[in-house]
Amino acid sequence: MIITTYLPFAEEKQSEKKPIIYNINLKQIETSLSENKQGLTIINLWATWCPPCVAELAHFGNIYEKYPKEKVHLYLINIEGKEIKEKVLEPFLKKNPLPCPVYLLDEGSPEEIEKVLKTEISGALPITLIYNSGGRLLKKFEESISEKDIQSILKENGINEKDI
Amino acid sequence: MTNYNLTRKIKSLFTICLTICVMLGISCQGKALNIGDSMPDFNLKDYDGKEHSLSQYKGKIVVIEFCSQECPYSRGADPDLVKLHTKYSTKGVVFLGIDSHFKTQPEEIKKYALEVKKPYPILKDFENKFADKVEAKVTPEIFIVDKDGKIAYHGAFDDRKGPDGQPTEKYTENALEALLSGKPIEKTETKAWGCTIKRVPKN
Repeated sequence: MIITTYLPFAEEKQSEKKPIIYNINLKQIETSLSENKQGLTIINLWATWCPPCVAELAHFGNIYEKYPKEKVHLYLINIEGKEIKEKVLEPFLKKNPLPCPVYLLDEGSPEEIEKVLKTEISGALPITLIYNSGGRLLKKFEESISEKDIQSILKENGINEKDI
Repeated sequence: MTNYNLTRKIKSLFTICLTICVMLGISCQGKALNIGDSMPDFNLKDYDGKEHSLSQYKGKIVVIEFCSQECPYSRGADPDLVKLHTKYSTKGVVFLGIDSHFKTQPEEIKKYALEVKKPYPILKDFENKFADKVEAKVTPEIFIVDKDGKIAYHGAFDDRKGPDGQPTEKYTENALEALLSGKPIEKTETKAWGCTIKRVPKN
């Protein structure tokens, strides 16, 4: 009896792994850039409706797994608003699982978000911004970014893959 | 003394040259177009091969929509653009789409436009030359040109966050209402999420 009820539950748990979604607001983004974290902060703005954004998510997932967490602070920020969490974002992430958490921007227009990001943005997605530990913007991509692009920036800044 | 004068002359000539360079530099680097500037003219063919220029619509309010059927966000705005066209074309407003995507061909645009019943001409901007000229970056991106050919509104179609999202502010419609009733437009410049205009790859 115990076995029969336990097994299906275990299987379900495996396939229905709940994606990690954190809500984030403009203030929290601003704070995260002013915390003087060690290493680099990568902010990627994306949406589920944006095919090039979706295509590059896996690259960020790989970066998250390959590099030490204390040196690469990755924020994959979905801009579609908190109302999409259950109906859109969760099913999307179940279908396209990621090893890293995803952040959902509560609300904020491109004009509001560019203020906290300290740079002008066009609003055309995807957008990737890379900041140093002092919160200074090092690179801005208003286009798709490859895993190689990210890796070379990390290397330039003395950040190497984990030894394992 | 002569040498001193010559040096002074060279110096002043150098200063003039530098000033000109700086001025030219600023005019090239600064934001290409501002509200109130004349919208540059174009001569582009629609998907049926008919030529359109902005100057031919002089005296009319023109809504220019940089669009791309490759962009879900741009497609998402289409049903509302169709409605807006129905509402305002009878009031003399001209609607023109411009497709600057480096891959999309006129016959594909025609197929899509007929499918979604987009009623206004969509012009093909080959090699994204006009998009470059006006520094259009996103789809959809709207320019509203007033009866004098000046840019009255530039930016987002509305403030939705996704293709099917509900807008809370209808920027384009609000701007048209203001223009038609002779009132100042409340928001003349806005930004929106959207897709990048996929340009011809540079070598």
